[in-house]
Amino acid sequence: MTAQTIAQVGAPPVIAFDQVSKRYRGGRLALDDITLALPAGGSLGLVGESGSGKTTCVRLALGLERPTAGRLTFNGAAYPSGRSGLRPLRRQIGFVLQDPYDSLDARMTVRDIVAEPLRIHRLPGGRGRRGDELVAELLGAVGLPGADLRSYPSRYSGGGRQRIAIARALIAAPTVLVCDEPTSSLDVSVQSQIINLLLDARRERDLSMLFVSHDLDLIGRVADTVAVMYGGRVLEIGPADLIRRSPRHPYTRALHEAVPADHPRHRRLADRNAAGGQYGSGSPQAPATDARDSCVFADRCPRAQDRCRVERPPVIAEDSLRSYACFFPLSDGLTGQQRG
Amino acid sequence: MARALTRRLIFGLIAVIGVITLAFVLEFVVPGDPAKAIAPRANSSAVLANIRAQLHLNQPLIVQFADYFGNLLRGNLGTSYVQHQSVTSLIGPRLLTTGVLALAGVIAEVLIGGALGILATLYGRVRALVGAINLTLLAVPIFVLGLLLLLVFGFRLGIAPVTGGAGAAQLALPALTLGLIGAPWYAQIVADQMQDSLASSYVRTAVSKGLSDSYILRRHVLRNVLSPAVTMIGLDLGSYLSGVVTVEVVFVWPGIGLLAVNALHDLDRPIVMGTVIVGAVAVVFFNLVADVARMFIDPRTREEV
Amino acid sequence: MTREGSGGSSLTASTTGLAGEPPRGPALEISGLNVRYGSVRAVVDASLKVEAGQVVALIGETGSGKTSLALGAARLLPRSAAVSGLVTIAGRDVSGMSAIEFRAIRAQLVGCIAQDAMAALNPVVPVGRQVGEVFAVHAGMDRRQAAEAAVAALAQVEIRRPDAVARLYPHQLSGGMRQRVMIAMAIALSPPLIVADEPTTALDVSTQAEILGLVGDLRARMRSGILWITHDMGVVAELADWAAVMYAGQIVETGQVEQIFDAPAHPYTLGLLQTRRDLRSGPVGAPLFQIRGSPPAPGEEPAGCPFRPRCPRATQVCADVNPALEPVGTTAGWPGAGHRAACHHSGTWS
Repeated sequence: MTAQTIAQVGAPPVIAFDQVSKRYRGGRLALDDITLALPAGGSLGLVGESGSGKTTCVRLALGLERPTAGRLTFNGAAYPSGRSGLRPLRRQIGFVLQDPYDSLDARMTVRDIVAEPLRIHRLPGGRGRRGDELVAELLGAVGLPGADLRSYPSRYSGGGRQRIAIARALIAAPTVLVCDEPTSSLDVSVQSQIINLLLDARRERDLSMLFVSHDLDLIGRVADTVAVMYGGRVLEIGPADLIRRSPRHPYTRALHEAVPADHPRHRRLADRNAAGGQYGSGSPQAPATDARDSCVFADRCPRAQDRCRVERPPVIAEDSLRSYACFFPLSDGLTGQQRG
Repeated sequence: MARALTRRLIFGLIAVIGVITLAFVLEFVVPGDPAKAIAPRANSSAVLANIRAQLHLNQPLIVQFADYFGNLLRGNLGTSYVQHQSVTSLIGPRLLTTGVLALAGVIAEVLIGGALGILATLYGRVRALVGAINLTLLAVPIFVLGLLLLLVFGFRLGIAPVTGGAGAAQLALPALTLGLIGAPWYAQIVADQMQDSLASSYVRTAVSKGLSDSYILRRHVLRNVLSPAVTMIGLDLGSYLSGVVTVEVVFVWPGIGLLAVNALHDLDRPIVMGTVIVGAVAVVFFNLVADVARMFIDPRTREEV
Repeated sequence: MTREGSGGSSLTASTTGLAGEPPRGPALEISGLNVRYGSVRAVVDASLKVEAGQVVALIGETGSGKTSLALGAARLLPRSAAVSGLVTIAGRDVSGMSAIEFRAIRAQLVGCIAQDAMAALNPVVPVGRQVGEVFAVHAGMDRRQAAEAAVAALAQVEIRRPDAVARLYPHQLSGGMRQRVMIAMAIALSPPLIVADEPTTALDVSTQAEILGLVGDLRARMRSGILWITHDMGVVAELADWAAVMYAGQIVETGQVEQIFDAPAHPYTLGLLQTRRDLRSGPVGAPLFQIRGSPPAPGEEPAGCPFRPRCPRATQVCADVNPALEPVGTTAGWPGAGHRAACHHSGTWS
């Protein structure tokens, strides 16, 4: 599947990864030949566990790092190099990251934090009253009306700080919103509020959204298209509900089945005999060394066969919406029967 | 771990070479004509010119530097202008003397500072007092403290010798001076680390395992305190070995620092350069030793991140 | 109280003295517990019981007091916390013991599993030694015996190649392995009570699934009571027999786990359940169910019922009177025994 097949007809994808790899100095391969596209006006969700590479994707998308192979484009054009080259691009991207305690400078006032993008991109309002009004307006929009502009982040709870971060992300009128686990550090009851805020902001401002999370359920509520990542590779892409209801890749199903039950009646995980413990112990880690000629999930896959260990499964497009990288994918209805 | 060590070694070597170059350059900033310094009573320009030729002073700089460097590698630090002896023979014994003082000083500051830090952490009531002591010790200039101690214990109470020399009796006061001056730094590190450790989650785990307070302090807290302390010890040893000038002058301790001060006075360039180089090597060496020690203490530092 | 299937006879109850006695009374019983930090009340008059062999989930969010309750009961809070109330573990009054008395037997009474295993393990000591410490100090083993016991304990928590792992440092292990080490330390002496403070919150979902499986296994073999703190209703569904919900320092609902899920009597509990259900099954892009407002900061609870500002069905009485924990009327099909809620309108939810 190429970036083009998901793109809207006519408009290039806002952010596109085309066979992108990222290897860090020291040898760690964080991304291994991935192809993804965020269509203009659409929402793409990246779901994966630690070591899957999803945070690296965010870093590349924000221009914080460059790919070591492949092509990364923004609205069809390659990401420029150098800080000044990246600036116009960065102005169009608003981001909200995971840690509400780290992402706001504790020594800056709320007003300065939220208005900072205006200053960086030399937009009106960086200083002075016009900026104050803008900031106040945005703080109201994120659910902190009447917040003291001269207060400091320490006064706010985790949820409050994320709201400030969202206000900051929106102030320069971006066209894209990038969210990397924005609610993972928050309490459950606050989480929905923040997500709703993001969904509202997206709808009202017609933003494209790249949303990264380890929570498959959350991704399914937020993103139209979901890409499942593991070990630096994309294992499956498709519409959120299909990914959940009838996944093709065994890892997607494993992920789905690892989520705890909805009701004590249906408990499986704490009762080993029920689940069968098929997915092997040891947490998922990105392969430590080079791109192996094998499926990255082969060690832990209950359906793995010899072929999976010696050949890397290519990405197969089932149709214009779904694709997966597996030699023995699941078929509809989660029956787990072999296909092909 | 080996990789991390070799990297540090290489950087250390580069640092030493840098210092040597810098010192060499500084030569030409130090006023005075070396020829005149060697033969102050010579009044014939021919004699002076002869001396300059002998010292290769009229050669291009690069040649002089290469010369000098070559000599260094052979362990030849040159000849003192004033004392007409090889610099190495002059510095050698003095280095040892300073070394004794440095070691004594470090032991003193670790003991005094460590005690202050531990007391301040474990006994809340004493914390303010320890803080005041620390502040005072930090504020006092080292020569004032030295002179004070000399006055009180030497002249007034007569229990410490007042003449210079390198005997065991003479070691007490200068070592104590160094110890008191350096103590607040160690007190601070020890107190900070201990507080961090005691408030940490792993100490709570240790408590939940029913381990006794003293066991926890010994086995869990102390190790974590050692790491930053060791770094500082390395820095101190290195810097003291390059000459604790003030203390040596005040107490007339015949170490390398005193030698360097006198040599500067006399514009005795070779000795000055010699002490600078020895100092640089000492700093690099002890830093490396501290790094290695830290790697043994804290396994997290063993891999190059 | 012996463990079936564990390696090494040296690990059976006889060496640990206390554990050899049959459990007297519930694993944990808390009565009227109050925890105060200065003028801030973190836990208000809480009462709770964990029977032997039972898993009780303590559900709450930040500021609910759940951690203060559990750590306060286990006497692990710093001295700045004022803890009062009656706490008995396996029938022994630990709240009345002196610190020294308690310390001598605490590892045999209660094992603790912390949330952040990376922070809770000493970074400069190999994990085998940290597990071995429990045996060396409390079971009177010498170094070699303790080391063997540690390896056996690591094997019990399904760590492969436990002898090699024992020599590693915490930063060399994955998050899941570290959590297993914490569990091994906690169950080392087969204590009648285990207190687990959100042990899977920081783990990947697949690692969490493995740990839950391990705990399920251990729970079947041991007869300890487990107090498991969490904010994840899914984990509650998987593990718990009984649940207690905390809000603003108070226990606002308790009951059998099926009751809690089928007929939550407190609007906060209902809100938590609805939040999760909506997350799991709602349509893409539609707004998520949310409980409006946010939990009060400790010390800033409103008068009357602390949940009132966020409650969709609050009435005047809710602002005037803080409801006490009372039995809930029975719902069809359930004996309702023990189901209690602190709400003036409990019983009107479905």
